[in-house]
Order: sequence, then C-alpha cells, then structure tokens
Amino acid sequence: MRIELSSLQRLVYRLIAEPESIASRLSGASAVEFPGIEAIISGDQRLAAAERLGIYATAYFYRLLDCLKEDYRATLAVLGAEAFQRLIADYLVQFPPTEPSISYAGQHLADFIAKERICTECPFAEDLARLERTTLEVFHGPDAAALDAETTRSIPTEQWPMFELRLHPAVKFLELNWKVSDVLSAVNEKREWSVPARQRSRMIVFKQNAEVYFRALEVGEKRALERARARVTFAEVCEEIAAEIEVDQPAVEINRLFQRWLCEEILVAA
Amino acid sequence: MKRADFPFFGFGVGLRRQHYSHILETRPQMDWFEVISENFMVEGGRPLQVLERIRANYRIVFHGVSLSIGSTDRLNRKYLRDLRTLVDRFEPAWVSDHLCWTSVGGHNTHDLLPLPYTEDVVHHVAGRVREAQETLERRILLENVSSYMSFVQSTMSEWEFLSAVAEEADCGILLDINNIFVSAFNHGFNAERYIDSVPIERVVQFHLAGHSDHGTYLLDSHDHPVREEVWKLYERAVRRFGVVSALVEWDDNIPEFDVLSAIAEQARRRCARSESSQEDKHENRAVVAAEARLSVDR
Repeated sequence: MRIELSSLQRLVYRLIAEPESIASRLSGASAVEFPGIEAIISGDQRLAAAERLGIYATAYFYRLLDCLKEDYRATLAVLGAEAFQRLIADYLVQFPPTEPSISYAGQHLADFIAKERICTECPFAEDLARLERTTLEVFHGPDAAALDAETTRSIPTEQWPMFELRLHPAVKFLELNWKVSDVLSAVNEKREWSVPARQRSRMIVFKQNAEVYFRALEVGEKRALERARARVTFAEVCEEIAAEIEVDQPAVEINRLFQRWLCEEILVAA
Repeated sequence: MKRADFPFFGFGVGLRRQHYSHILETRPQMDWFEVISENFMVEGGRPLQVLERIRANYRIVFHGVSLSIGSTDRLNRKYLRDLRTLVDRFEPAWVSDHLCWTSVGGHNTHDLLPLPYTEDVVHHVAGRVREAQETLERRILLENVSSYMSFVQSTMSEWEFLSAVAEEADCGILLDINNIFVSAFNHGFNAERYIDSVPIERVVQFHLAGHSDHGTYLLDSHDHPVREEVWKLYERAVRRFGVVSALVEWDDNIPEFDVLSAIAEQARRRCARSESSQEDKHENRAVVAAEARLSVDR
C-alpha cells in the first residue's frame, strides 16, 4: 500500500504517541493492536509489524518519562514512582512535546497537575512541580555580569541616586501556596522530606556562579525588584522599598537589602 | 563535495555532562569531542560556560538530534537560526544530524524515526538538506540511523537511499558502524554490502557504539562497549574508506571517562592495523600487477 509521506508520518506518530500505546506500555503488554499495520510496516517471522512499531512506542514513552524523572526529582519523590508514571502517561497525551529540545517536555507539568485528581491527593504537588520547573528555567536562563561591590564602591556619592541598574535577566519570581522550598531542598540534599506547611509566599529564584538558589522574598523586596525588571535608578528602587516597609529609618533597611542583592548577584548595571 | 574538504580529527568521544568536571580539571588527552547541539541551544547557564572552556582546549563538532530533515513539516526556521547562532559562537569543524524524521504536525517524538526509501523521499529530503545547508552556510553530514521497522512501500535499500540523498543534496555522510550492524540484524540485510556500497568520498566521520541484544532484535542502546562484530565491521570500513575521523558514543549507564578514552584508543589501533593491512594488500596487488605486466611484456 502506497501512502503519502505526510500521511504516513502522521499515522506513525499517532500510533507511537496515542493513549492506547502509552497505556499498553504501562500495563507491560508486549504488543499493541494496530489493525492493518502490516500493509504499511514490514514484519517477519521474528518480529511482526506491530511489535516493530511497539519498540518505538515503548522508547517514546520511557525516553520522556526518564527525562521528566530527572527534571522533577522532588515531585517524583513525593508522588512515588508509580503515581508519577501514571501522571506522566496522562500528561503526555494532553501535552505531547512540541520543541526540538527534550528539556521543554515538562514545561506544562505544573499546570497539568493543577487540574488533575492528584492535586487533591497531594495538594502541594503543583507548587513543587512549578518550583522545580522554575529552577530549571533559571539554570538555562541568560547569563549577565552581576553588579559587584567593587563597582558600587567606585560610584561617587552624589551620583548614587541616578545610578541605573536592573534585575539579572535570569531571575524569576513565583507565588506559592505551600512551603515546598523545604521539600525541594531536602530532596536535593538527599534528606528525608516532610509534608510542607500551607503558607503563601512569593519566591525569588536566581543563579549565582551557575548554581540555582531560591528563597522567599522579604517585605520591601517585591515591588523594588519587580520594577527593576526594566532599567531603574537607585533612587527609584529606594522609593519602592520605602513605600513597602514600615520602619522609622528606611535607609538602614534599604542598605541591608541592597547588600543582600549584591551578595546574591541578582542585579546588573543597566 | 570531497572528504578532503573536512579535516581529519582522529579518534574522539561524545561530550557528556557526567565528564565535564573530569575534563575541566584534568584536561585529558583527547583528539576531539562531539557535542549534542540541542543540549547547548539555551540562553545561558553552566553547560554553555563549560563548552566555552572545553572549546578553548579541544576541537569539537556539533551533532544534532532534532533537525528532523525527513519530516513533512516545514523546516523549523527557529531551530536552524539557533543552531546557526551556536555554530557561529563555537565554530565546530562540522555539523551533523540524522537521516530520519523526529517531528510531524508540530509534535516532537524525540526519536529518530526511519523513512520509506523511495525516489520521491530522496528528492524531498535532499531539498531540505540543501535548505539547511544554505542557512548554516556549510555542508552538513547525515548519519544513518538504527531502525526497528521498515516500510512496505520502500523501493530501494537503506544504503542506496543514504547514498542518493547525499549525492543529490551534496552533503557528507556520518557512517554509524553500530547502526549498520543493528539495522542489518533487525531487517536481515547484509552489513558488509552496506559498507561496500556507500560512496567513499562522502564519508567524513564514523560512529562507534555499543548495543543490547533483545533476542528478536538489537537495540541501539549506547550502554555497552563496542561489540567485536562491530569492530570487525569498522575494520572493514577502514579498509574501504581509509582513515576517517571516528567517534565513540555512550549515552546510558555512562562509565568513567577513561573507559571511553580507552575505546577511542582501541579505534585508533584497529584503524592503524586495518589501514596498514590494506596498504600491504595494495602493495601485494601492485606486485602482482607488475609481475602480470612483466609476464605480458615478455
């Protein structure tokens, strides 16, 4: 049977990635039924056409599963291998990979978890997956030379208010409802994890010397750092911090936060 | 295109992140590294920084897995632009990918799927190779994939298909010796005939790797040492194609760097042995020919 290349590719793709193929991989079936496939794919006594196609269906699912296991180690640890595998089987049906790099395969997992039953069974799984994904994106995010203490010391005092800076381009913020940072740290450090507290927090994820770090934002940081996404003057940053904090001497707090940002390398000169 | 357009790099290994620290800290002797392009098509981060440092000390080539040159989707222009950016930054000696399709309908399988081997598909793929080569402003190499299925509508052998695409697109060939062995078993064709049929001048690089035996089929798993049967095929390839840049791939259960390095050295020794035996044969043939000529002259 002669079939146009585009139709052939769509058919093979569907047979490899369709839910039935994935389900059969999960159940450990040796072959999936692909009616009429012998007219398209050559089979022989050693391996029937369906078995040959099945090799690709198995490889498709397990290659992606392995990749997502690595990208979502903490989510895997929390859910357990079996539940994680079922989750990924369902996820791949709804969100099949679209990008040339396999590292994008898990980009929608947190959104998917949010709508799944597993979110009721493990209510913090969505937040955990979102934090893990964000750390990966920051890791591969753009590099930039951080503003350092030496540079800031060289700025004359009178020029400080107009000194322009901005946030490091790889920095990301995210809102979480559970304190999943403790879970991720525990899994990363191969410690035992415990169910996190339900606690709303705004996190900052950043990189320093190519290593990714995350922490909760302090009061006073949120508006100032978000504004620094675009070029901003030091005076404007100070105004944002002062507007958010309630202390008698904001200069002390501004200085402390600014020193912290320099140490964490989350600012760059504009 | 002729092989002399590409430098001879010797015997290298695939660059894998498990070996980054070892390579940076000890700077081991290695002729060259093959780098998976997609792993570095990112905005920033440690992998790019590592590659900068490795590039400063070693020769590299890029090897892609997602060009999807056989797909019926339009060529992914963003992918090609990203690849071009990477190539301009790191200046690899050459760029290769696979003679297969990986995506269709905007979905990516992240697998190297075989094509039906027909004249129509030769023209389809060759046109896309030319387009990719224009964007990259360089000739690329196409690698034969290992496969587990073939299509009823194929009208030519895999080696005829590979050769026809390379000729029509005027591109080079990355001949994966293990893939030939694996596919020959899986489809019941003659691996030696494959080696003997590919155009000599287009073969710029060899791949060597291990596979696993699943009884009814061989899997190109890249998780074992190179098997003796594959080494024998490699030696045959050296006798036919001469000295060609060769690279050892290992992607699963990755061993210490020294293990890979030792396999690259084994490739070097086997190449030298096969090449010298070929020279001996040439000399013998020359002697026989000269004697024959003398006898005719007499």
